[in-house]
Amino acid sequence: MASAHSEFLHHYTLVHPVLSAYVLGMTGRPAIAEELLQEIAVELWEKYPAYDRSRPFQPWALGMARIQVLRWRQAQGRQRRMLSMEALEQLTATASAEHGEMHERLRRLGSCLEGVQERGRRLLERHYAHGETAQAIADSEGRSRGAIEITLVRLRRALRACMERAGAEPA
Amino acid sequence: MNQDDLSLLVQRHLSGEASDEDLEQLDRAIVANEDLRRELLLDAGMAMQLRRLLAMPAIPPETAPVRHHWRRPLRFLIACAALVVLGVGLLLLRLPAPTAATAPTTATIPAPPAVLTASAIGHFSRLAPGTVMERGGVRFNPPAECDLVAGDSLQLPVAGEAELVYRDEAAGSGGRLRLERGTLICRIAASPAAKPLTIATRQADAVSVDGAFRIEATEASTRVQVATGSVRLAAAGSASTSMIHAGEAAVLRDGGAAPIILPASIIAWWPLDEGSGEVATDRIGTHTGSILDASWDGSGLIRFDGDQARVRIPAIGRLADLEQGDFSVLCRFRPDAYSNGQIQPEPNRQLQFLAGRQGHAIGLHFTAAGRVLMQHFLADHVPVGATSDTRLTLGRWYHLVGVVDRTQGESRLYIDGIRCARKVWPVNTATPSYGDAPWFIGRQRDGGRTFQWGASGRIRDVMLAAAALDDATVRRLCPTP
Repeated sequence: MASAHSEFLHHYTLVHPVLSAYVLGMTGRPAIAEELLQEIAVELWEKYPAYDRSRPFQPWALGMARIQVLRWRQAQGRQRRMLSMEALEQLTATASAEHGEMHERLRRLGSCLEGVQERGRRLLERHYAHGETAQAIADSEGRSRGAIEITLVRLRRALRACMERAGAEPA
Repeated sequence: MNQDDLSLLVQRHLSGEASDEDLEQLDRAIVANEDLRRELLLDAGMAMQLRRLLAMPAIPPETAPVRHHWRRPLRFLIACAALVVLGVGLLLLRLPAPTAATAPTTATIPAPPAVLTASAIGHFSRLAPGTVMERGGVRFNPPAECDLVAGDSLQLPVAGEAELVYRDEAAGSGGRLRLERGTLICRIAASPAAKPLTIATRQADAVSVDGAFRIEATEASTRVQVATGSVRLAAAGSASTSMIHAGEAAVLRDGGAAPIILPASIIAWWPLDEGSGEVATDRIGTHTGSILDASWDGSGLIRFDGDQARVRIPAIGRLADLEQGDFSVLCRFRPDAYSNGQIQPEPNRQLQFLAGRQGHAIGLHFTAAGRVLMQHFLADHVPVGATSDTRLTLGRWYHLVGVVDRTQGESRLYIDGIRCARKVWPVNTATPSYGDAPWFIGRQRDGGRTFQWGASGRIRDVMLAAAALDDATVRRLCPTP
């Protein structure tokens, strides 16, 4: 029989992509999203004994994540403009309706990334791994911010298409 | 608003670059458009995944140390040339060869007195030739085996060793030996607790009543390694003592007020007190570090400038997978500045990196708020960290210890020997493998435009231990002022 710990890890690994997406979608700040995810992971584990195993794990986890996001918003006060509460609730509902598709698609991201040409990969690295803004990249490359943003959008679309294609192919 | 416009808004939002106007438009679209919500969530999931996938690049080729490769031979050649010139000069001038440095000390020392077995409290063996003993005001070269008499003074040849078995069966209050130089391997054979053996060196008094230990004395420092039992160690002339237990070691530098205790599980120790050069020596193992883009201050410590200065240590041997098990990171830190944006632009102002591993910033950090963070990662690259409530004062030295304890499922942080933060997580959770990502001190990585997290201040006595140190051990490791 699996221990509570391994059982929790199994659940958490499956919902982690959705939680990550949800928290970043809510906050729009990758670094803050990482920090909140850490808090959420610890809180989920601490509250795990109270989790009703007859119900799905994902909505329960998203509920916890929502509370953390709300706390963060409250702490921000009026310092920063954020998405409205209405948008937040709509996104919560959409995330709750995810049934593993995101997890499956994101699993294919690594192999799809290998198909990205060197120039595109460098841009993705600068933006995502090194956290450089589109404006900073544009300044260093002598291009416009819009051009960098459009390139990033296209790269993401290409990756999305690849992940979907890979999912449609027979194993 | 067409699809491209919406995708652009999503792109800006997910990277924190959306203007108020962008957010307003996106907000309206999210509420109205289910497809956009799905797209936004998938893109957000991709963004988070890309951060992780792309944050573990191959280590960029190192450029700075290339300089070392030709500098060393060049220095060697210059030194050889200087020696040749000096030798030729001596020959031409017909100067007598210098003899003082190699002259044996025996010539000026009277013959050994009779061994005073009646009052002997111990026995030396394997005394190296060239050893000088002083007893009752008389200096002599002892034989390879002789007795120890309370108050003896011993000077072994450089790198010389001897063994001592201490057995205090006579009346008195214990034995005292002065070790001027060399290494003694001591074993207490039979000694009532009231009769300790004291070995005094230039820097320290080491007192033991049981067990076995090794004590090494040089002009610069005294080092004690305890095999069994314990040793009470104090700086010479100081009343403050530290207890060194079996498996542990301690070092007292010349002029030091308190010993530096090395835990039993230690695998590397970089004092960072070389005072010059480009090599950070590991005094425990062989994990030599490269000191890069740094200068030294007047007190012989590296000036971590909040920018490029760093020490880079390859992740080889035990450093390759240290974070896969229980581990502890220790250092002494004197902050010079908070990362309040004055040192570096965002996102570099988030943290200063004190000691740990590149890529996912495992280890000790100094936050923009002046607090200390011990961070590591769980499966799926989920970060966990223990952050102190205490705000460090600039210009003051602190002893910091970060602990990852998988058995307990917690991270702990200690400042000056006191546990000040704890973060719990699922017990025995695995950590991702970080391949050959190197360890760094004072900066998170080589090069790069972001996430360098250069430390501003002084860092010294960085240690890595392959165990989760507990509260009592950390308290003892903290140097008392």
